Amino acid sequence: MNGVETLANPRSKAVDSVQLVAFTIGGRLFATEIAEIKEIISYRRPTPTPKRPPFVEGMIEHKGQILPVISLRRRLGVTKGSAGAILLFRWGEKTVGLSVDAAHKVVSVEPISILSPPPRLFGIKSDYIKGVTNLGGRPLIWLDHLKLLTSEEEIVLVV
Amino acid sequence: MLFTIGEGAFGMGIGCLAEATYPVDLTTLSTPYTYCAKLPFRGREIPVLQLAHLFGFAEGRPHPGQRVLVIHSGDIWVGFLVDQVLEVVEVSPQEIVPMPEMLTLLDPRFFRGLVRRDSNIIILLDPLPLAALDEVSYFYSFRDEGGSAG
Repeated sequence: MNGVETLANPRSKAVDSVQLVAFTIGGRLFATEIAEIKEIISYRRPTPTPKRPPFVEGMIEHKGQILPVISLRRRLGVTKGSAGAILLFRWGEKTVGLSVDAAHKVVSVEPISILSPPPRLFGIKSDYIKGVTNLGGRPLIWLDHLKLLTSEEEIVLVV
Repeated sequence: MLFTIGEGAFGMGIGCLAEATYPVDLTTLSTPYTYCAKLPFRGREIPVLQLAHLFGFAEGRPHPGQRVLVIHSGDIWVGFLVDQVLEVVEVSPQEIVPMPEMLTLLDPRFFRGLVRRDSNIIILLDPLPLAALDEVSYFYSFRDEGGSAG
C-alpha cells in the first residue's frame, strides 16, 4: 500500500468472515483485525522523545494530532530491513501508530480456516497469537498486538 | 527559547532564564553524579545538567554550538547543557498540547507540552522540576555542608 489509505468501511461483506489487515515484518506475514485499525499511512521518521521506552520510536503529527509510534519490528527483535508503513490503531480512547515493514491488503478469512497456533510459531509464543491461516501458500499470523505491546517478555522473530 | 539536544528540538520559557553562556571550564563530576557537571558562573560554581545524557540521546563529539542555559529560581542556579540555541519565539498557551503518554520514561513534569513549528514538533521543557532533580539537590546540600562537588 502506498500513500495514505483510509479504512472507511471496516464491515465485512460476508457476514461471518473476519476482516484482517495483512502486513509484513522480517519477511513474515502478520495480520490484525481491521476494526482496530483507523488508517494506514506511509512511514515517516518519528520525532524522537527523551528516554523513551525501548519499542517507542517517537511521535508524528497526523491530521493535527500528535501520535506516539511504536515499532512492532523492534518489539519482535527484527533488525534487518526498514519500516515502510504505520498502522494507526485504536488503543482505548487513544490512537497509536504501529510501524511495520509494509502493509499489504485487507483479507477476508472464513473462521473455519483460522487454526489455533502451535505453542511457538517463528519464535512467538501462542499467547500473542489469535490464530493462523494461509495466505497464498504462506502462514498468516493473526497477532494479539495489544498483548504483545503490554508484555515485557523478550521475543525474537525467527526470519 | 528554542534549542536542539541530540536529534530533537526543544524549548524552554525565558521567564527564569538568566543567561545563555559558553560551556568554558565545564567540568564533569564523578559518582554519585551521572548527569550533572559543574561550571564557574558569576563567582560561584553551579550544577549543569547534561540534557543529552539525561535524555538518552546518542552523544558523539560535542556540538560546536553548545551552550549552557542558566536559570535562576530562589537561591538555586542551574545550568542546562544544550547542543545549539536556535531562536527565541513567541508561543501562546493555546498552541501547547500535552505530550501523549508512553513517549518517555522520565518524570512527565519535566515536559510542559508540545508545540508545532513548521513541520517540527518542539518539546517544551519545564526547567523547575528538572532543577529539582536529586543530583542538583545533592550538589547544593554538599556545597552547603562546606564541601566541593566533584
